[in-house]
Amino acid sequence: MSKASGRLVLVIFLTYLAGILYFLFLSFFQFPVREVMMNYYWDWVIDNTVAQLISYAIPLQITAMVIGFSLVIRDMDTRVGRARTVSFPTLVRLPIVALLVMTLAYVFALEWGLPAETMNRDSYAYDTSLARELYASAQASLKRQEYSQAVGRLNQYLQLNPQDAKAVDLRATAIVHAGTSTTARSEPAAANAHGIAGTDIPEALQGLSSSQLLERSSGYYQKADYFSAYYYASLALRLDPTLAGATRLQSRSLDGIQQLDVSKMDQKKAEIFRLKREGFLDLESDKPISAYYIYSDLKLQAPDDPDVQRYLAASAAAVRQISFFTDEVGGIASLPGVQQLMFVNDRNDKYTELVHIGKLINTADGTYALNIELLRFSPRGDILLHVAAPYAKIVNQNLILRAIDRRDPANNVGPTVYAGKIPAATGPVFPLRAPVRELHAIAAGSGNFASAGLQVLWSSLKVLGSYGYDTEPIYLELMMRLLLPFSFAVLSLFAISFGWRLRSRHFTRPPILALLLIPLIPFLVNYAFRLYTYGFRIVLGYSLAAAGAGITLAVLIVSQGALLVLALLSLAGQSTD
Amino acid sequence: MKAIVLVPVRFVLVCLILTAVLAGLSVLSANGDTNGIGQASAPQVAGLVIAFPAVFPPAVLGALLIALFPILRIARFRFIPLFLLFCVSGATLIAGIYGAGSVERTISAPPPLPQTISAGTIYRFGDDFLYAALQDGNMLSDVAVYRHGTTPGFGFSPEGTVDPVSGQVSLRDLGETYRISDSETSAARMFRTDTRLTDLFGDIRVLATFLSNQSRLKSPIYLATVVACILYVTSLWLFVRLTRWPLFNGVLAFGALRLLFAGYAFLQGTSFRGMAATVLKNEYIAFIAPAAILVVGLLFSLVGLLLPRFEPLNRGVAGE
Repeated sequence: MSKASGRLVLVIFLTYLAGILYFLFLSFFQFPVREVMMNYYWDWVIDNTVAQLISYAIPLQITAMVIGFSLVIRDMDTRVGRARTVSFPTLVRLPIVALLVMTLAYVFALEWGLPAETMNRDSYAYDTSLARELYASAQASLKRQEYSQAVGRLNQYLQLNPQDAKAVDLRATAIVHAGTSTTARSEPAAANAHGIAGTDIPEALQGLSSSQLLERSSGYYQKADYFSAYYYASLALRLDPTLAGATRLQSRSLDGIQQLDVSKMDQKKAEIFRLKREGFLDLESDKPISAYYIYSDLKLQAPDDPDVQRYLAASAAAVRQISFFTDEVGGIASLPGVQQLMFVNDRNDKYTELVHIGKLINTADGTYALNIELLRFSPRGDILLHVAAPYAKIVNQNLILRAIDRRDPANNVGPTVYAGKIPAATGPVFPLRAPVRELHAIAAGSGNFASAGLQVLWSSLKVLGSYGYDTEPIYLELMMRLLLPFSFAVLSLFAISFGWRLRSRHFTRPPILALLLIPLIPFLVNYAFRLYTYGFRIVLGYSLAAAGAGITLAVLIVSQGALLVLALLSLAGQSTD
Repeated sequence: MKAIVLVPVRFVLVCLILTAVLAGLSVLSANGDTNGIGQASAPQVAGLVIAFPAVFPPAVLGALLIALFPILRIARFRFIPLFLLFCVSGATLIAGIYGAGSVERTISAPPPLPQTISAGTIYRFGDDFLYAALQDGNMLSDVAVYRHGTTPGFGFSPEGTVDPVSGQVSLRDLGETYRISDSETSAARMFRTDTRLTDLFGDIRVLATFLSNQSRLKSPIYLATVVACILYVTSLWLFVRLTRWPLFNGVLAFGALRLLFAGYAFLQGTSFRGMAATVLKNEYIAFIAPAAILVVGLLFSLVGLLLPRFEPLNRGVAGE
C-alpha cells in the first residue's frame, strides 16, 4: 500500500469514527424519554447510533473522499524520486478498488443492518406502551380483586421492565391474595368441533395401518377397556374414514363408557373413572378446554393411567386448535417483531373485515400477535363484530384470540367483544387470508419501510394491493433503495475528482482556522446529498405516476449509468502534473 | 479579457440550468401528486411560469456564487468581473421576477389537482390508520379508523368528507381529521419534502415569496432587497479566495449563502418583527432585513479589500 493510500484509509477510518461518536453523542440526548422506558436506554442508544451511521454512510463516505483527496493526499505524495510523478490513475487505483468493496459492505448494511436496527429501535417505544398498558390493566384487576389476572399482567409487565421494584412488590401482594382466593372453573363460551377426531396420531403409532389400529381397538374392547378401544377406533378412522367396523366399534365403546357401572369399583377408582368419563364426554361434545383441565387434574391423581395420558394429549391437541397457553406468550412481548400493521382481511358482499395487529412476533413455538383488534362491518354500515385481545396465536392461518392457563382457568385471557357476537360455531378463531410471511410483507408495506430490506419490500409489493394498500409508495421506496448503492459508488467517484480538483495548494498545511472548520464539511455534504436524493425522488416519483414501474426502473438505470460515465470522465480529466 | 467576459456568460448559463432544473422538479412534483400509477398529469408551460418566482431567486443567487469560482483563475483586475457579475445578476433577478410576474398575470393557473382518497384503500398516519369502504366525490361512507393509544383502537363513522383543496378528511362522528398528504402510504407521500430539507426550503420560500409579492407592488423595498442580496453574495468572494484550499473556501461560501436565507427568514419572522416594532415604526421594519444584509455584504467586501493579494492556485506556497 502506498503512502497516499495508507493516508486515505486513515481518513476514511477517522471519518467513520467521528460519525459514530457524533451519532452516539446525539443519541444520548435524543433518547425519547417519554416514549421509551429507561431500562431500554443503552439498547436504544446503540441501535439508534448504528441506524444513523448506516443512514448517513453516503455523506460520510463522500466527506472522507473529499477530505482525503483535497487535503490529505498532496501533490508531494505523487512524486517518486526527483523527476517521476505518479499518474492520477495510478494514484486512485487502490482507492477505487477499496470503494467497490465498501459499496458491497454498504449494500449488506442497507439490506440487513439498517432494517434490523430500525426495527429494534422502534420496538422499544411499542414495548413501552405495551408495558404501560399491562401495568394499568394489572392495577385495574387489583381494584376488581381479580388477583390471578393481576399476577399474570404483572408477570408480563416485569418481563418488559424487570427493574420496577414497585411492580415487584405489587406482584408479591397480588400473589398472596391470589393464593387465598377461590378459583372457579368455567368452560369458555364457545368451543370448536375438534375432540379426539381432530387430534394428530401420536408419533409412536404413526407406523401402524388403520386395520392394525382397529385390531388394537378390538383387543381393548374385548378386555372392557372402552377408553382405549374408543381411542384406537378413532385413530383408525382418522386414517381411513370408510373403515368397516371402526365406526361400529367406536360407537359400542362409547356405549360401554357411558354404561359402565362404577358401583362395583372401589371409591378411588370409581372417582377416577367418573372424571375420565366426564373429560371424555366433554372432549367428544366439543368442550376440549374443559376436558383438558379434567385430564390435567387426573394426571396428578393417576399419572400412569394410559387413558389419562392419551386423552390429556388428545385434549391438549384439540385445545391448541382453538386456543393457546398463556405461558407461551409470557416472555414474547420483549422479543423483536414488526409493529402496527393493518389490513383488509376479507371483503365480500356481506361484510368487510379489518384486522389490526400491534406487534407480530415469530418464535420457535409459532407466530404470536400482540394487541389484536378485528372490526367487521356490513355494506349498510352496521358493525357486525368488533373484538380485541391482548394476545393471539396464528395457527394454520387462523388467528386464535383465546389464551388459557395450564392450571387455573381463572387466568384465561379471552377477547373483549365491543360489538356483535363471536359465532359459537367457531369461537374466537378467525381465519386469516394472509399467511404469516405475507403478514410480514404487509407490515413492511404499510408504512414500516425503514424496517424492511429490499427483499421484504419486493415481496410486499406483490401482495400489498390485495390487502388494501396503494403500491406506488413501495415502488418508489424500492427505486430509492436501488439508488443508494449506485449513489454510494458514483458520488464517491465524483468526490475523488472534486476533492483532487479543489485540493489544498499549501505546501505544509492550511491555516488552523480552516482545519478547525473541517467538521462543517459533512453537514454541507449532507445538504447536497439530500438535495440530490430529493431531486431523484421527484423524478422517479413522477415517472412512476406517469409511466409505470418499468419505465421508472429504466430511468433510474440510465441516469445512474450516465452519472457513472460522467464520474469516470471527471476522474480521467484529473492529473498529477 | 476573454476570461473576464466569460465570467458573466458562465453565470447566465449556470443560472439557466439551475432555473430549468429547479422549475422542472417543481412542476413534476406538482403534476405527479396523484392517486395512482398512470394518473399523473402532463407538465404544462403554465406550471413552469407559476413555479418560476419561487425557484428563480435561489437559482440566481446560487449561480452567482458558482460564477465567483472561475475568477480565481484570472490573474489581474478581478474587480472587473466581480462588478460585471454584480450588475448582470442584479439585472437578471430584477428583470426575471418582473417578467415572470407580467407573464403570470396573462395566464390562468391550472386548477390544483383535487385531493381525495380511494375507496377500499388503507391510509396510514403515524400509528393511526384510515379506511373508507365507499367514496363518492367528496363524500365517504363506512369509514373505519384505528387510533393508536385508544381503547378500543377501532372507531367507525358511517360517513365522512374530504376537502379536495386542503386534502383534509373529516370524520364528524369520531371528531377526527386527517390530512391526506400526511399519510405514509398515499401516493402524495412520494413527493413530500425530505424533513432534513424542510428548513432550507422554508427559508428560501420566505425570500422568494417576499420578492415576488413586492415586485408586483413595485415597491422600493423590492429593489433594496435584491441589491442587498446580490451584494451579499458577490461579497462572498472574500471566502472564495480566503485560503489556498478551494474546497474549504467553497464550504465557507456555500455555508454563508445558507446563512443568507436563514438570516433573512429570521429577520422577516414574526418574533423578530414583533421585537423590532417596539423600537421602530412599521414602515421602517421592512427595511431591516435588506439593510442588515447590505451591511454584512459591505463588511465582507471591505475585509476582502484589506486582505493581501493572493497567488494563482497553480503555485504552491508555504503554509501560514
